[in-house]
Amino acid sequence: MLHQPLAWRTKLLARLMVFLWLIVAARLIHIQQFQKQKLSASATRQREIEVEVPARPADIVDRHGKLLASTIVMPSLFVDPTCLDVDAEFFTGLSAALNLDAKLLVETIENARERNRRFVWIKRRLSRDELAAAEDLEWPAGSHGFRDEFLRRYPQGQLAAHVLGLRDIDGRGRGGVEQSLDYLIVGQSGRRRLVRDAMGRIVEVSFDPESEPQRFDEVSLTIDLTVQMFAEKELDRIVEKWKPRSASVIVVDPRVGDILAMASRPTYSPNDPSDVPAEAWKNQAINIVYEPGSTLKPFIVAWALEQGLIDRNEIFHCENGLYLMGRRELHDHHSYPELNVTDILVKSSNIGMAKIGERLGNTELYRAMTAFGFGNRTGIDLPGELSGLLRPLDRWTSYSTGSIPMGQELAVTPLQLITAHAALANGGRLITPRILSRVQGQRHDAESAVFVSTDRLNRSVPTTIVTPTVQADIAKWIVEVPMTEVVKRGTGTRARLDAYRVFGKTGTAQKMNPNGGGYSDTLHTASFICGAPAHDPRVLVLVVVDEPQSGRTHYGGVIAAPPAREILNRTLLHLGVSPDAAFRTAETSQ
Amino acid sequence: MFFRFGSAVFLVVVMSLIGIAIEKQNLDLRREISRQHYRMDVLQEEHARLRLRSQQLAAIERLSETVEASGSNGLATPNTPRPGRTRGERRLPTLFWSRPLSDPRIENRH
Repeated sequence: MLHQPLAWRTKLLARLMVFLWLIVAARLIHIQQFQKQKLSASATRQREIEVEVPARPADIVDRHGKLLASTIVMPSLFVDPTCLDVDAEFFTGLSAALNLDAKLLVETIENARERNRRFVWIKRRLSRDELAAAEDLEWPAGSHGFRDEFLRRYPQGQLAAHVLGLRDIDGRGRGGVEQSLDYLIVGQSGRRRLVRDAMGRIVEVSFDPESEPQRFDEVSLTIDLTVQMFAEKELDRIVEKWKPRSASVIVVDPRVGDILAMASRPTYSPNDPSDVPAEAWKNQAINIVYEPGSTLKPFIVAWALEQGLIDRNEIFHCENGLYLMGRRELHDHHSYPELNVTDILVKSSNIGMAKIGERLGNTELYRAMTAFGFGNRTGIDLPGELSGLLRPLDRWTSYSTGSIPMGQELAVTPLQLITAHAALANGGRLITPRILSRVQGQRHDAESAVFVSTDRLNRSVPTTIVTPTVQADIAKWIVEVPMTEVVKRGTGTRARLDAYRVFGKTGTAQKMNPNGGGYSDTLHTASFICGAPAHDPRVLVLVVVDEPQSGRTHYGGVIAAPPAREILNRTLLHLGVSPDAAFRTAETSQ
Repeated sequence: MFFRFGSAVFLVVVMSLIGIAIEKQNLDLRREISRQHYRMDVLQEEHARLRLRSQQLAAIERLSETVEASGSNGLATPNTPRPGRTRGERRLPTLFWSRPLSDPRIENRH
């Protein structure tokens, strides 16, 4: 009898327990099955944060791997103005630590506070001393922070400043390859997942190869830093001696179109771009145009030979220095009765060239200019390249027949001119000049889930376009005979070298009078292009000096030829080009 | 009966402890990976700074000026041969990679 109520209570308790367990089980099933996604997402949000990891911009190196531009990380200081409840003494200390104007600093923070802004940069890219001084200040809690930012540095200083360009405070490429190759240099930002503990401390950084920043390590240019230095030093001497308005030098390997050096004056320091005059930002090698003058003459002769309109040994009557071409009077610097084709180039006879121009006519002259690339951009990987000025054929007049062969009535960039001369030097093939050599680095390949070398990805090296201009034997003859004679006994004798047979052409172009009324008698552009060895040109140098001010002369053979010779000689020695033994023997025997 | 129950409980406890140990080891390894990545970031930055500094010091313009100046003063140029060390002076090259690894920023962050 006593057991009956107990059994009843036991059963009730057991059922109650089962019921409670069922409720717990049901709740667990509900959480695990129906609320799983929502709750796990909530937990992940509390535990994990995702941050953007910017890709470090690729280094820029020269053709031998010497560093031209690199990136380091520097801290930048920001504040939350709403939390920055401090006295004036603090701002005095802060401005002294960061070398800022205290009044301006207070104004900036007050303005931001009025607008209820929670983020204001105080100073970006602090030096180590500035960072230490800023950290020593007594900041109110939560009022400030440091964010790492990239700072671009150029260890070679001013060398190749116009080729490199620079990066602005927000890391965007401005000018030079920093702008044109920005798509290769900046890379793609990645993302990293950080795991926090209950106190908010970072306890784990998840590494996922696919979400890591994608970047190239190095972008190699065709520039040779040693040759670049030769060019820059000669430019400095030109500026010191002739005080020109501007000047530029380009050195090219004509076999492949590689730019070995490109420099211009005035220039700037990419490490300290403040207070740079506007003219200094211009890369004079591609951002200006000028009338090429006599440096254009070899192309006219080559094209006339190509068309079979003149013969290499033909003699032209040069009218003793005065030629009436319609109503126009043409003059030579010296009077010549008769000159053969070689001597027309050697003496740089305008009358001889005008007569060759008459044989060609305007249509063929226009074809010659377009065949050698004038009037079109060369396609180099640099921003702001001008296309020169070549008027449409229907706007040419009878004056053009005499002017174009003398290098007037059209304007070219120095790069266009040296590219066209490189075509003569390499056997008549017009090659796109190249500044980008290759890109190096590793990228994560999503398919194979491994890092692969970019060499295997085979990308980003620009295509070189080769266009035939004149036959190889004509180009070779122009280089080895008339242009070599120019240096041997013509207007370019100041460019002669003892060990190499040099070819070249001087150019002295009058500039347009700024006040109108035709050409100026005082403003000139002196230029000289030369290369060596003549039998197998390895180096081509162009020096352009715009408006030389000091000195009485304005001739390209006097102003531009000596620096071009120096650059050529040093470059040939630097590249280890063997001295022309046959040439030396012949010279000695003479 | 009691023995079977005890054995089952024991097994469950042992498996749980092993699981916890493995989980802890897993967490330690993940933290170590994080630390290694952080070290790599610091070393990359250090490498960039040192490379930049070395290239600044060896900048071709700077060296050429030094060479030209020393040449004009009749001083030794970098190409001038120097006398070799005597036996007593000879030192073994040592690996010197302690700075980045002992960098307080590496150890203190985690």
